[in-house]
Amino acid sequence: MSRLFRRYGAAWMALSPSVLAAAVCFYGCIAWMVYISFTRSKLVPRYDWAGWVQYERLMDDERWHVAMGNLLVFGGALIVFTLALGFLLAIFLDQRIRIEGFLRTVYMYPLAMSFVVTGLAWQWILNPDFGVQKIVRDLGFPNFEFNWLGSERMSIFAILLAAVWHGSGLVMAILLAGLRNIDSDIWKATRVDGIPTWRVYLHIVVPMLLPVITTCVVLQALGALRAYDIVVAMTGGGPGFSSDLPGKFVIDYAGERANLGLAAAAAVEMLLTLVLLLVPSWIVKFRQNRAGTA
Amino acid sequence: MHFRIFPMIAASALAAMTTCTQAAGIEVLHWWTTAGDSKAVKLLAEGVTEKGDKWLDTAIAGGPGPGFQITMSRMAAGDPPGAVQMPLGVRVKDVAAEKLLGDISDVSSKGKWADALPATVLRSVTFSGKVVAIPVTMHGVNWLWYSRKVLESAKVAPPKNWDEMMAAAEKIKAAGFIPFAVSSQSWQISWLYGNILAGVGGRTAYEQLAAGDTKVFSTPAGLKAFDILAQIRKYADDGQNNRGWNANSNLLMADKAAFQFMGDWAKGEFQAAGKPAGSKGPIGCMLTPGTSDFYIMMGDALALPAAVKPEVLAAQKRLAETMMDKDMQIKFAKAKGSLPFRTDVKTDGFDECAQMALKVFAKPNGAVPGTAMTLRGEINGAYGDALAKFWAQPTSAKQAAESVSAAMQRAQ
Repeated sequence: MSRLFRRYGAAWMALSPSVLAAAVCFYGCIAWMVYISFTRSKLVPRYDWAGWVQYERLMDDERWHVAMGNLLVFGGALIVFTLALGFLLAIFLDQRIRIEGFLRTVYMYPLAMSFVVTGLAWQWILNPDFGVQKIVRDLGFPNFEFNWLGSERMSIFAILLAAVWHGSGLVMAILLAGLRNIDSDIWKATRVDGIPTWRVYLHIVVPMLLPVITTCVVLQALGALRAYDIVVAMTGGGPGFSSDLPGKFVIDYAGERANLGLAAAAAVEMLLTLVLLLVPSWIVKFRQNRAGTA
Repeated sequence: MHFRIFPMIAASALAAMTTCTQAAGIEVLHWWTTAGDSKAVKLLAEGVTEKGDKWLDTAIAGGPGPGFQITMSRMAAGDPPGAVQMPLGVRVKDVAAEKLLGDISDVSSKGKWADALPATVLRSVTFSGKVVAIPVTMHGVNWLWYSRKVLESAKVAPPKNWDEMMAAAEKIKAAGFIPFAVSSQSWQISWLYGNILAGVGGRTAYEQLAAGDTKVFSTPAGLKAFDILAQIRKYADDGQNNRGWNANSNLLMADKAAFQFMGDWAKGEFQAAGKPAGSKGPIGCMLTPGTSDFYIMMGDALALPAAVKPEVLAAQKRLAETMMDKDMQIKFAKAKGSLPFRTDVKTDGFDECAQMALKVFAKPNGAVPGTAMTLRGEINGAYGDALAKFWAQPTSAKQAAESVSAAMQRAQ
């Protein structure tokens, strides 16, 4: 014991504040939230056990179902589109073009903007009265229709559009860094073998980038799960509550609607969704570690 | 006690993000951020500064939702602001019931608030014998604003009932204007429904709604109100999605739209833009059809959190004195487009619309507390969600009555 302490004591002492912070702030708060979700807390926390009432209420809350359905569509599409677009941009920039530095900045700029600003800007762009629809109509196509913000079916895709625009730059930057790490000898070897470039990307580069891609997937999944301000700024959840996302549902109930119990239950369901999303990435990591030690 | 620590940590982290400065003075958390509102707040801040307190402004741009959430977090963290904006009514009572609000009864008895304020108003800031909030200013909800120029161009007169309103809308649309400056935002829709219901079913129907009695939706008046709402929906323009109320007011001022249903804070907006409402101004004011003999009211209050330092408590009391000062009540209300709560102030300096409201207000049972005062946040939210859904996809009135009352009952 004392030998162990001598060996790792300093490391433990240096780490303990962050371990404590993580234990209390993350896991402690999660445990507290899970407990609150089993109570009838309204304006302030109450600790009388109430069982599954809040979860039952969520089960027949139409708005919650819409929000969760939107999360699946929005989150899935966000990951696919940001990865596809980010990857294409990264490959494009990896061709050692002359103004790379400038273009990289341009593609990264959306990320520097907050979601509120992004949401407002896209709300104006998509506003049928003075945005894209108006411009195209003025160009001589008077029957052109583009009103996603006003359509219950399309409103979530309007938010998706803005979020993809916002997030693709980050994916590009991460993937570009990954591409730059790939040994140039690999490229030379494939060239000697006469393998077409697209196959090199698909069959050699992508598998090598898998850990980096996993990082991007997790980042985008978290972004989708956390999305709140972009919804408020763009659609306010409407029309009706067709573009609602779980983050907005939780904040509505934790705040103005003063039902902490229901908000906590919704947040727990969000957390479970996150865990389900993370499991595949854990499996990838686990396999890599095993491959590394074998 | 054991569990208390976690919300405190979570809340203090949030608090640390939202406010970084904490100098001596009184911090006021509010969301009076539109042109007219912020003019009024500036006047109050000047009054506070004159009394020697430093006004620390924490304006929340996101409105009541985030504003209230930050308030509750800060209170839970034991770091409340000196004063927080809150709608007068059930919200103040609920927060006070959790022992989160202080006591300025000595200021109210010294200032003889009981003689100056209507009994209902004083009652709504009093909790178990203690005065816990300052009544700031009174708003009316059942207003209808119109662009005089648009009405003239379309050759219609201000409508006296809902049938005339719809006939006017048709003509306005034919003349190439937007008949109604409306929005898909749930609170705007639910308030509009309340106003229509009040116009069709009278005071008793509205009071039933304000009491949270969902049977009102399936009464003939309730059903007719859904039909009228759906008709108004038909005339809405494409840009109405998530449009702020002040953007709607702008449509009137730009002579693009004819009517706006909105509380009298819109008047503050017109005024701040140099287009005052009144019989001579470019904007006309009237009470929504059928509601000319009562005033649906809501009020703003400044709630005073408990557990503050003694010097902050003293500043809270000075703030209460400043806000209740006769001149301040008048100045503030004029800038914001509202009415003073004090009944003992001279009102002859107010504009025509306010004079009209004061006359209605003075009638027996002239003031009806609005849903914003009486419905709890959750029920009000469910009511708004259900109506926003109806607005997005109008159904038959009968179906709407069923779904709105089911949504509200779930939230009970």
